[in-house]
Amino acid sequence: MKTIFFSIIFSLSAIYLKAQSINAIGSWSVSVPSSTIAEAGNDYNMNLTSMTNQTMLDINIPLTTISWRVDVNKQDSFWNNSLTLWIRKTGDGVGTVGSSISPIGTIPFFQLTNMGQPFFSGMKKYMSIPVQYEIRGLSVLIPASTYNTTVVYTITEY
Amino acid sequence: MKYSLIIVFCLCQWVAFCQTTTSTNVGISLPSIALLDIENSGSINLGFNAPSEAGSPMVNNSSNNSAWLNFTSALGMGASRNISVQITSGSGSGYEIVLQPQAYSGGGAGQIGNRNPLINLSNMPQKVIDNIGGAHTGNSLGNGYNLRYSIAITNYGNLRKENTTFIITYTLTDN
Repeated sequence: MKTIFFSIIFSLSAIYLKAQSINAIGSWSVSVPSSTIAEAGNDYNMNLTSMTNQTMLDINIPLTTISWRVDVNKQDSFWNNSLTLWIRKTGDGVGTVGSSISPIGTIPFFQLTNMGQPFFSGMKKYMSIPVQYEIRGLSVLIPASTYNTTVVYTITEY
Repeated sequence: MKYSLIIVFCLCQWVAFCQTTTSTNVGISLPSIALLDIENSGSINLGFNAPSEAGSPMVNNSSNNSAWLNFTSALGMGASRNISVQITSGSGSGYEIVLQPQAYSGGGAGQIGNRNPLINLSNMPQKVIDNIGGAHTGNSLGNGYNLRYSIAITNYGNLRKENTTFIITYTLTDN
């Protein structure tokens, strides 16, 4: 009887934890116009920056006060290492009663790598956390082509 | 023992379920770019000086190296470009215009190509810079390839007293 009891308790816990979710809405695709460089001899002299809410993150942690942390990394499909992708949170979104998020507000850009890095953390449910991207390192030395990478957000409860 | 196994099993489930991921895509398209410019592209004057002594040849003491070739090139992987030069207007008799591109200098970067150091200009296109890849020479005087023009007599018998205007055209082309 005890065996069955413990088994049910732990299994339900596992199911309960599985109910957490993180959802990213909004990708970013940008084409650089060939007219960007107006004068022969020059290179690009710019970074490309997305809208401040290019991606909106929803974090669902139902019925719990468990703390969570979002890590972020990129997984390159076809990318050039001279291009660097930067990311930042530009706001806090909307949290439920008693929720918290850290750091608060807009944070500085940091460079995404293929290794996970802490992005932000919090407690309880949050919706519509705005995320902005920036691509740096543009140069005519990079072969003309379309480059793609996937930004992966991982939520961990602790 | 039974309980231990159950707990271990369930903890494994915990560990497996406590992370969730989502993702989104970021893409960038970089265009092909071909920009060519001549800094100091205004008129230049070349000529011969009459000899001071009967029987002496005419002296060509005029040359000009005020113009610089600037370019920006972005292109697909493995591709290359060249810059050709030709006379598109004007012709002279008994002499020719000689172009001597100088070695690259300036603040650019990339695959800036290989120059042809001596070209006798004609109305047929000739490659002046070849094997250009993704590159930029830098902009303005002092960047790119300095263009040195001079004239050379090819046939005294055909020389005439004349003022002729030539138009010299440079073209950046995919190989």
